[in-house]
Amino acid sequence: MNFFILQTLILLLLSFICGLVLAKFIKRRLCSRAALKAGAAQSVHLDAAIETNYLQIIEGIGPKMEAVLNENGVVTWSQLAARTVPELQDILDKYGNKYQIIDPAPWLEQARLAAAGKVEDLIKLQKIDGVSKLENLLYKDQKSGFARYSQDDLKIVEGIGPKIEVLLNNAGIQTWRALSQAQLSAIKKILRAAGPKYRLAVPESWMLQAKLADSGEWERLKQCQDKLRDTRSIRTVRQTAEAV
Amino acid sequence: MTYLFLELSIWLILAFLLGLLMGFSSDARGGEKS
Repeated sequence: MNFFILQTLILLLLSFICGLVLAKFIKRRLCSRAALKAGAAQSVHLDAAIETNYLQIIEGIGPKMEAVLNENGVVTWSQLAARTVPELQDILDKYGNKYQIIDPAPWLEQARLAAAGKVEDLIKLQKIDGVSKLENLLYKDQKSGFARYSQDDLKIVEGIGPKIEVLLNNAGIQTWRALSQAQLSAIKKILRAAGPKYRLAVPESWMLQAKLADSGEWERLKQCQDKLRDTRSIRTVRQTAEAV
Repeated sequence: MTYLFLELSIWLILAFLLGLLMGFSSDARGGEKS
């Protein structure tokens, strides 16, 4: 009887775990499929990109190339993914020297991922060559909150105003990257040296914020700053810095 | 015996559903980290 109870418990546990795993799996699939559509809903740019510039999320395909492909019956990602490299080469050959030198091979994998809704994988693939075109499109709107800040404007960091910016600039910290690599103790020293007025500044999160700005992670920067605005105790700032 | 199996399968299904629910709700609460 004991054995039977044990067996029952194990079975219950197993079915619970099965449910858990299945839910996670379904959720992940739904998320990656919905990501493009959700992005489209919140962003006019992306909406336009998906509706009209359909193929242009692929690295290497611009407006002209898209027009060429459209003329030859390639309108959607899946249609592009279904073509082979020689077929695409044949299409390009028809349009003269400028197009003949283009290598369409990298498009196929990207188109396959786009058609399958694997947004993260596509961004990862594009990032191998540097910046991801799709990621830029997806997060264009998220930067808009920060668009008023030019590159390396330290005021983008919550807690830094014009005066502290001047202090940091004078101390040789002039870029987001420089601030992200600065030591907390060094920044505290700069603030201390500037007088009692700056004692209230809480620089614990500045390096992290600068790092996020420098790497263009606008969404996380916004999350971080929202948390900072909620409460300004040093402890929370530290926790935020660790959590983000 | 049949009754026992019936009861066991109902419990199994319940556990499975609970797992599903937990899986979905944990993601919904934590949100997808990008």
